Amino acid sequence: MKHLKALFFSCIIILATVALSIAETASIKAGVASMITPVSAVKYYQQVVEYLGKKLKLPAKMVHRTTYDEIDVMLEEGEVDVAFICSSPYVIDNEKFGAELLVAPLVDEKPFYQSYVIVHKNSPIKTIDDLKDQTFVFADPKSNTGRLYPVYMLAKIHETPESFFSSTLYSYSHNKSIEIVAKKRAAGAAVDSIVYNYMVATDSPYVQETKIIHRSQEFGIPPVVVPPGLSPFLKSAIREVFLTMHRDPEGKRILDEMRIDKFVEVPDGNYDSIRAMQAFIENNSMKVAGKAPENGDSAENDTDIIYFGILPRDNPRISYERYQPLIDYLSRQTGGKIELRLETSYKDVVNSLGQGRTSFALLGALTYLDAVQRYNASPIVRSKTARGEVFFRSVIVTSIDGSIKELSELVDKKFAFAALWSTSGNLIPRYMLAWSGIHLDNLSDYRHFNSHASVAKKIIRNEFAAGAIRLSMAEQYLQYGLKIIATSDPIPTGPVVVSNKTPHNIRQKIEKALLGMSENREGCEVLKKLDPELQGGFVEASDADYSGVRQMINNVSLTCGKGCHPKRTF
Amino acid sequence: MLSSINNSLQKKFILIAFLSVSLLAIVVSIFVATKTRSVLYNATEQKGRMMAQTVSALIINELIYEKLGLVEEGGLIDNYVRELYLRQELELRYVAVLDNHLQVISHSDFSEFGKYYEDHFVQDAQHAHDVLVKKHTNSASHFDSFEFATPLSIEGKRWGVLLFELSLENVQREADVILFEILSIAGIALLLLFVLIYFLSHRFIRPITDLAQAMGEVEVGMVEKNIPVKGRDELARLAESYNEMVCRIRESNEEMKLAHEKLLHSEKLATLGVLSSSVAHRINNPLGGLFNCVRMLKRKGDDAEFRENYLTLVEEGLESIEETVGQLLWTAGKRDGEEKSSDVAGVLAGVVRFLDYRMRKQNIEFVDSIAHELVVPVAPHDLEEIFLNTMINAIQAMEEGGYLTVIAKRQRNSSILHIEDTGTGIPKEALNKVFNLFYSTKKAGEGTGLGMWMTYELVAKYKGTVELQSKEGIGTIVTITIPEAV
Repeated sequence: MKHLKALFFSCIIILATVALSIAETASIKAGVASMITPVSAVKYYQQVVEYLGKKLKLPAKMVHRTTYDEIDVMLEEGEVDVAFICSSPYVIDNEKFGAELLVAPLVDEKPFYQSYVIVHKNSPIKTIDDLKDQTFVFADPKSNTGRLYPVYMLAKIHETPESFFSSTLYSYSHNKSIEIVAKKRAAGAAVDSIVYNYMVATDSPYVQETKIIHRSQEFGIPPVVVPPGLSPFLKSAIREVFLTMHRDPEGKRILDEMRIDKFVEVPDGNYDSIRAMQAFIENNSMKVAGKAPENGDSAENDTDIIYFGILPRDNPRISYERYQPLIDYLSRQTGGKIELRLETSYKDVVNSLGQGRTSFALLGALTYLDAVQRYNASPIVRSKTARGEVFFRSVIVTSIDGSIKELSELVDKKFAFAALWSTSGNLIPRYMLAWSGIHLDNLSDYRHFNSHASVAKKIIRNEFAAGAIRLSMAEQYLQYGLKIIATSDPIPTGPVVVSNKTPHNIRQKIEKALLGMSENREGCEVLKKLDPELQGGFVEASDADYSGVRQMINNVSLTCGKGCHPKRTF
Repeated sequence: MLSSINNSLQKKFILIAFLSVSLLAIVVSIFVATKTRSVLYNATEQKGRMMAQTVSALIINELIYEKLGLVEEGGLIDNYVRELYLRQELELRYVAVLDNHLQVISHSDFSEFGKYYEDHFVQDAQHAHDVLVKKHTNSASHFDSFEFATPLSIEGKRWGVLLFELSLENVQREADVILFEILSIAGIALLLLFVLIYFLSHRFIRPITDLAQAMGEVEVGMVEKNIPVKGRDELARLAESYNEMVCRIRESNEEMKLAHEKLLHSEKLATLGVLSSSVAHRINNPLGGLFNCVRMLKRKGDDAEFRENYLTLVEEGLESIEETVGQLLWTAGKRDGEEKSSDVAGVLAGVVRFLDYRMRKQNIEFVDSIAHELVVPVAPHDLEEIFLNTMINAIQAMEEGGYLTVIAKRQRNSSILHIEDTGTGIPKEALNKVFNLFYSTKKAGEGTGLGMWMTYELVAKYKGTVELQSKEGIGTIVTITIPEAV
């Protein structure tokens, strides 16, 4: 009898506990941090949370906070049952207190997203390096795409946001970051690709004012997580609602509005690339806290390095292979530290010289004239060809299989020029064509290619009927099916130009080293690796060497109206 | 076991052949396995070098393009490193890309990002012109690996270092499998070889053992026994020669036996010559008496008493002759049921009886000293022969008379017989030739030269020894030692 009583009471206690725990889970609290804008977040996530409550037949409440931090704390304390958080906080929370990955949205069929580094569409900034000493916008201190990634990129070049940017600010929203850049209140920003793409898709006016200069690798998309202590029953119930949401008409409508395909289960490994960035920054800061790296050139002062610019005639790798020996030779000869500086366009090579980013540049006749005109640069030496001449020629080539024999036959044909600012690949051939009565209007189509080799290849592949390249380049490609139909008058070889900002002693050293090259064996070895136009070494140059070319340009009317030709008088 | 091996040519042959082939097999296996391993290692190293060159070129491109802003996409190197690492067949332990500060800018293991690698290998690689390779011996996993480091450089321009490690696990496993296969094949081959050697050796050794056995069974005066000859090889020829040899030995043996018998016979005849004078004397004496008796009986045969007396005398005379003749027969004839031992005194007395006439004639004094009841384990006939031979020699050495002394005594387990004379003696240089067959110093017709040889042979038959001491002009002592019956 006594036992029965005891049993009865224990049953009561168990029931009471169960009832209590049901009461505890009797409502769903979902945490949301500002992801798009505070307003939108409320609007969209409110729908998801309501949908969740409806499906679970429990009252659901959305807990909205402005920062990721606030949501993290609530998740850790178990104050929310489910949360929509950013990928970076997930990785941290997962490690810190075991926040569990529940599901992740699929956007554009992918459970991944990226960080975009954006600038204003009219900004001259092309790379992250160019953002030095500019203002920059981060999203949230804990944001993955909006802060972690740019910080990681800077760490890789041994910089911090503080050392690199002139100033930074937090927008606490990716939309806001885009808006700030669009309004030119900051030079650049790092934003979430989903948000950016969404804004592109919805024709947001702000996004149209920006352009992407850099895309990150793919990161695991911001997931839906649950606190570690959540009951397995509730957890699987919530997961089930998310996973089946796209099959439910109401759920589908909400997903469509949010531009989410569906929710799926994803492996934790998707977030490893974020872990890698965190590890990098952590390992890096440990190092900084300890001892500065002795290795490498930690005392690498930009001021000590003399930069040498070259025209992007070839792909960058080949440029290094050709010109790095020359740079190494000059470093050895002058005892200074000289570095090659590549640019993507002919124009930029001149700009860099003028703005002091490079002290010297190896230019062509046309780019030289530009450099003199705009920046008062002066020639120190000019190259000799492998034949020992101070001029070279440009040719117009066609495919060996083609019927074209004369320039006049090029009417209504597709023509490939080298770069716009190339003397041998654009300027001279244009005159050659003009003298044969062929103007750009007479061509069915024409295009410019940075590299002479590209022009040669395009003609061999019959993508263009004819093209203009240097004679030496044409000779290399003759065996592959090129035919020369016209050869230019001699063109003076390009000069090594010095910026007027370059100290005189450095100028002298370089000049001496270059002039002496063909007289020693080491120099000759280096010359052999250069373009044929430079293999003969260097001789002294003067502005008069280019007066012929200058004359030629000035004699012709200023513009052809195509916007293709450098419109300038020299 | 060891002694059984030592005793068998077959086992020795098998053991030596097997051991040398095993040794050879082991040496060859180890050599091949080592060679294979090093070839595989070299291949891996080549693979690594090639990979280092290819991958570094790609990474350099990526770095240049990224720097120039020609690619907007970030993390391409990370992706590349990751994809490379995930390709199982490359067996990469890790892949890392370091910048000029030797900081990890990309790594297959995310936790390595941002770390600084400052070991010498990496530092060397940063300034190297080619791929550097370092072999790691991992004691924990027993699998080695190659670490490759290549500078990310074009001429003097340097971007950093590409670092990766190729596991040699599969290569080592492969090498182990090859080693195992080689050893297995060698083992099987050895086993087959063992069987082959066993049977071959059996084939080769068998005729030898057969021969040995046949040889062991050969006895003097053996019955016809031949070894079966199979095949035409060396061993067959050996068996054939052996058979021929046995045949020849048998033939010469028979001839020898025949010659021996003849010799013995002639010696007996010679002895008989010596004896015959004594015999004649011993027969003549009673014969004279008998004639006398016969004459007396003719004269006074009618008297019964007289006749009785003389007939008794005749009987005695005849008995004496019968005894003498009987003794002669006993000496020369065949004897059955011979005794194995003899009473020395008795035998000597018999011998002396034959020789006393001669001795007296030559004025030789005979002295003997025989231990009481001395019995030697020698057949009486043989002992008689021994005495006869030695004593006749002694008598012949004493033409001018002298002393012949025979002493027989027991000494420990042997009986010693001394036959001593005071004759001419034997020259020192002839002393060791005395026992030779047909050695004789006597005048022709007096001796055959068989006496001392026969004595020696007879004594040897009873495992005894004969010693000779002699001094010219003084005399000779023959000492015969006969051990107790075995």
